[in-house]
Order: sequence, then structure tokens, then C-alpha cells
Amino acid sequence: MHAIEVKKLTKVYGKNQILKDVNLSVESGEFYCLMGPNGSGKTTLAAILASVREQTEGAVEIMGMPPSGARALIGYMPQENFSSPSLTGRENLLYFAGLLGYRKQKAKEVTGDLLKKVGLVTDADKLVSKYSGGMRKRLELATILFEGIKILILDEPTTGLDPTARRNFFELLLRAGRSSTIFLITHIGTDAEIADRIGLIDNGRIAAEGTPDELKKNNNLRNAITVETGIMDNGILEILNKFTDGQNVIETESGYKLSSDDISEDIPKIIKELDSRGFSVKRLESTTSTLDDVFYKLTGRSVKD
Amino acid sequence: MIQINAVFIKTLKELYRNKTTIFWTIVWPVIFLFLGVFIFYRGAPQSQAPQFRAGITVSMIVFSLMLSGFSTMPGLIAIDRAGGLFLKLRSMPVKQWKDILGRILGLLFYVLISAILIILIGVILGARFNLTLSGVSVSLGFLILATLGAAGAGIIIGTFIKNINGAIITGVGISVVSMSLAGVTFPYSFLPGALQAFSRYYPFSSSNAVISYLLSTQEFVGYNPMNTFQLSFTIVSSVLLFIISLILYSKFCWKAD
Repeated sequence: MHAIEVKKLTKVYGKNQILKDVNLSVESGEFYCLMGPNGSGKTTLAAILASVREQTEGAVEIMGMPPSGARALIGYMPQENFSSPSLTGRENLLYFAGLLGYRKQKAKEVTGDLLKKVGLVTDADKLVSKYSGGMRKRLELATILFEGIKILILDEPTTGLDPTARRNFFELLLRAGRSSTIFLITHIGTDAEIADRIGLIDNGRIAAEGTPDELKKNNNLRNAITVETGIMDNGILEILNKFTDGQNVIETESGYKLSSDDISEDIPKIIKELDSRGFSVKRLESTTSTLDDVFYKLTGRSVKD
Repeated sequence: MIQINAVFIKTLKELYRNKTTIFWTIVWPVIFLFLGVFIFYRGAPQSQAPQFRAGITVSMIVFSLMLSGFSTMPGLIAIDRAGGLFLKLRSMPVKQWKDILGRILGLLFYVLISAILIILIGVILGARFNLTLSGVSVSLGFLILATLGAAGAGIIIGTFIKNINGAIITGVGISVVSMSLAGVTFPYSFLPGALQAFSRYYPFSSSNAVISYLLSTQEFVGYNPMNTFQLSFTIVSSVLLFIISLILYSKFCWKAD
């Protein structure tokens, strides 16, 4: 049984078809990311999975049940900041614990543990209105980490956060929520890279699916290393050919360019080997292909549109 | 019960932590109470001054509960909607009626505490109430009825007006204008004939009249509201307003589309 299964899903608003014949499945414990630009239908899909909206056609199952029957298993984090700014962090969690049916004493214990998990123990009794954006998102993450919640659905959870706060949030998500199935919505390629599998959505359709590496390889997007040695020599070519991932090493005006599976491992080895054969490296540059590039290649548009 | 209690506590904390709400629903009615006692009703007959002060106190309680219901309730609903809380709640195993019941109980508790504070200040200012068991019981019933009606009006405003400022201002506008037209904040005898009829059947001014009649004096109210038709109409219209609001809230407020 899949944790999430979507078959031939269609959603129509008035005359607009937001989702068109979407099929996808997510295994239990898998981290799946749906990446696409604004207006591509990803938020609508997340809302249908979270039983917030209903589909027009097609079937959706969460752990073998329709979403409305699986609410106790779903932890949904909408884009907006839904925690109450007039309450403290602890009071907000106690409110959600109450909604989930926890009695007073148990609610206190559980919220205490959750505050620890998301690193808000020292700020637990401050009003949320005094929280930074990152702290507020961490608090809201805690609302989907209650016991019994198996499927975490996060809709652009890091909107408005700076890169450091974004990184901290995802580190926390991976640490605290890794035993659950995670369904993440984003339009940021670097955020999507941490997922086990990614679905690229455009105009309501899944354009491609796969692991980050698969998506890049299948679309002939590879990490590239450019080496400038000042001279062109067959010896250099011979060395570089050992590191390429099957593609030809290209001679450029000032040196060579090769594609690589693992830049961080290959670069020091290339430098060492060239050096041992007496070739000095004048300049070495690496370019990493991103999921944004994959999206652009597939759809002809930027994911940030 | 646990879910209702969670919403009740959240609502209560949000109400008491909002200084603006406290000002307009407690401090402002108290200022009006002072103005009523020392300026507007200064010419009241000396022999009935304590009863008139009791009447003013009751009017200020109704003033407070109307503002709380008509503007604070839709404000809280609009804030929760703007923050995406309803989307979150819709994804959880929570029933709409439990959410709204918790909110209403929170408002009711807030209104009762406000009423006690206003009564205490009224008593300090010389208000003397007619305290009979039946009078107090019926008055409490009409106070709760008026609160439920005002909460109902506020829920309807909050359900349909999605903008936070829009919801609050609409609530303030309707409550203040209707209070003025129905003579909640000034004597019934000053109203023209058509508005006197409105005052008798507008559920809030009618409840105000019933409570004032029971706890102060008929001279303050300006007429006897204790007739079957007016009492029945007030009860039915308040309950109806409340029930309609629950239906509309359940049907439309959590709607995501």
C-alpha cells in the first residue's frame, strides 16, 4: 500500500483546469517533493491531499483511505502563518494538542517534547508575535509532528525565510520528521534537492519524476568542470578522460571542459594527477546543474516565473 | 469537550490580550457610564437616581456585549482566516460546530466578566438594582440571549467579509448605528415613533429594555416591555440569528474554494 496514491486527478475551477490527469504515488517513509512555478497547481494538489479541497475527477488515497477519512494521519502545514500571534508558542501547541484530543496533562508533556524537538524550549513562553519568521515556521512544523501523524504535507514552508533560516528549517524537518512520509511543495530547486524523489509540475501536469540525479541525467544536465592549464597537451586530455562520466572531454579556447558525476571528489584528484605529471592548473571552475535547469529544459520556462 | 475547551481557551486569551478590545468593550462603556451618571442623566428625579444609574449600567453592558459580538467576533474569525488557520483546521479531525461553540463560549465568558466589572463600577457610582431571584434569573437569560444574538451577527459578518479591517469596521458600524437607532445608548422617549417600534423589536434593544425593566425601573426604560409578543419575538429572533449564523459558518467559513 502506498502512503499517497493519486490516479487521474483533475481539478477544475470555473473554466480553469488547474490539475490535469495527475498520477503519482509516494511510498511510506519516502520524502517526495513537488516542484513547480506559481500557478502550476501544486498548492491545489497539496490541499486535495490534505482534504482541504476536493478533486473534480480522479482518485486520491492516503494510506488506503480517502483524505477525509485519513485526517488523523495527516499533518498539513499551509503556506500562511496559521499560529496565533496573541498566544505563546507553548499555548499554540496546547491549542492544537486539544484539537487532537489530548487531555491536559498529556498535552503538556507532548507539547514540551515537541518544543524540544523544534528547538523552541527557551522561547516557548514568549508571544508568537515576538518570534522571528524562522521560529514561527519551526513552531508550525511542531503542529504536524504530534504522535500518530504519518503523512506530513508542507506547502512552501520556507516562504519569506532567508537562506540560513531555510537551511535550518529543512535540517530540522529531516531530523524530526524523517520517520514519516513527507510531501513537500516548493518552487526552489535547492530545497527540492534534499528529497528522495521529485515531481516537476507545470500547467497542472507532472512533467517529469525521479531522483534529483535521475532528473539531471535523463535531461543531459551534468555537473561540469572547466580546466585551464595554459597549454593544450594530449597528456592532459588522457588524464581528464579518466574522470569524465562517459561524455567526451571538450577542448575549449583556453583549456578543457568535462562533465562529472561528483565534482567534490573529482576536482582534488584532477589537480593532484595533473600536478604529478607536471601540468600546472591556471584556473579550474565547476558548474553544478540544478533542478531549476532541469525544469527549464523540460518546460522552456523558469520555475521562478 | 476537549476540542471545545481548546478553542474556548484560545478565544479567551486572544480577547484578553488585545488592548483595543479591552478598551472598546470595557473601558469605553465605563467612560460612558460616568458620562451617563454625571452628565446625560443628571436631571433624573432624585428619588429614582439609583434606579436610573442601574438602568444606565445595564445599557452599558448591552453596549459592551454588542461591540464584542458584532466586531470582535468577526475580527477574530477574519484574522484566523487570513492566517490560514481554517485550512489547517479543515485538514484536522475537528468538527466545525465544536470550533464555533468554543469561540462562542469564549465570547460569552468574556461578556459575563465585562458585565460584572461594569456592574461593580455602576454600584460604586450609586446604581442600585432590584434584586429578586426571578428578576436576576430572567435578566441573566436575556443577557445570554443578547450575547448569542450579537455573536451570531458577528459570525455572519466574519463568515462573509474576509478582510480583517472590513469585518471589524462593518461590525462596529452596524452595532453603533443600530444601537443609536434603537435607543440603547439614550432614552427611548427621545426616539421618533418609527424608531420606538424598531427599538421594541430589535433583539438587542429589546433585551436591554427587559433587563433594565427588571433590574431598575420602568421610568428609565420608558415603556413596559414585558408583553408576550415582544418577549417571544426577542427570544425567537435572537435564537434564529444565532442558529442561522452557525449554519452559515459551518457551510461557508471553512470553505477553501
